[in-house]
Amino acid sequence: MFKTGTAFLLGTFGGYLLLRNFSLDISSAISYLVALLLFFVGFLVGNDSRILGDSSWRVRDYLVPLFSLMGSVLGGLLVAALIGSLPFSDALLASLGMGYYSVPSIIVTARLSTSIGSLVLLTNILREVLVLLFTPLLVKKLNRLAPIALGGTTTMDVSLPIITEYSGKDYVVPAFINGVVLTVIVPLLVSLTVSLI
Amino acid sequence: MLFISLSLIIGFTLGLVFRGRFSNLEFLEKVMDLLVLLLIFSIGMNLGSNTVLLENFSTLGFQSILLALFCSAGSVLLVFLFTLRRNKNV
Repeated sequence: MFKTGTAFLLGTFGGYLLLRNFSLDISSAISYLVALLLFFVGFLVGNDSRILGDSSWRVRDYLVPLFSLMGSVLGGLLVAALIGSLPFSDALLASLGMGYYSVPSIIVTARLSTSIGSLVLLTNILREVLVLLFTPLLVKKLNRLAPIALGGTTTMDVSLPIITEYSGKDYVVPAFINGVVLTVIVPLLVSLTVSLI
Repeated sequence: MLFISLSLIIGFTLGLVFRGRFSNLEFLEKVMDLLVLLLIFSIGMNLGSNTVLLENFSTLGFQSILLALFCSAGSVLLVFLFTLRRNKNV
């Protein structure tokens, strides 16, 4: 928690002070870094005879995306209930993102408005940051499934390495499946919600 | 983004092929630990240097922070309650 928080703050200030004035985009470098990390994650899992031969796979681990999505929506609607100026529909769209910011925010921007699209974008970027910062703490205080619940769609790529590190190699498969399932259904749910509003 | 999932599959396949040839992968785990911190650092850099995002943050920041926190907490809590009921030793 301390290490991840420090790395993030140093990065943010560094980016603000150094990179802001140059139009240097490091997002493709980040993708390569994620790819390299996932190569290592894959290697560790493939190399460990214990993981795939293990018959103790629990149905429970694969229901995480469903409960995580429901919890997110409940949390989002609670925020709308607390802040009167935030419409329930906006809060619902933001909470359906589950850490997936690119596609949902594009759908919302195109079909509703830029400001709601930006809210969806920011909320879900922050969610990605939260999983990277809080994974160590969540594993320590709650359980090893908690970061997968928080990570949403990011558990198939960006947050999979840190989940591997803290939840353990046995959680790579449920985490990856959680990310894939949500990455498929989130855009569908966002489109459906947009067309119903 | 396909190459990201592909690299996971390639790594997995190589891990299977070379299973048993490595007695100690602790070194790799240490390298990953450092790379994860580098990843978090670079994501911070990417956000800190994004002026459009920073501009939006000044108007939508409060709402998006609350939403991110409550949605995350909701997800974690519901999954926690669900796992608590089914099995105490996760």
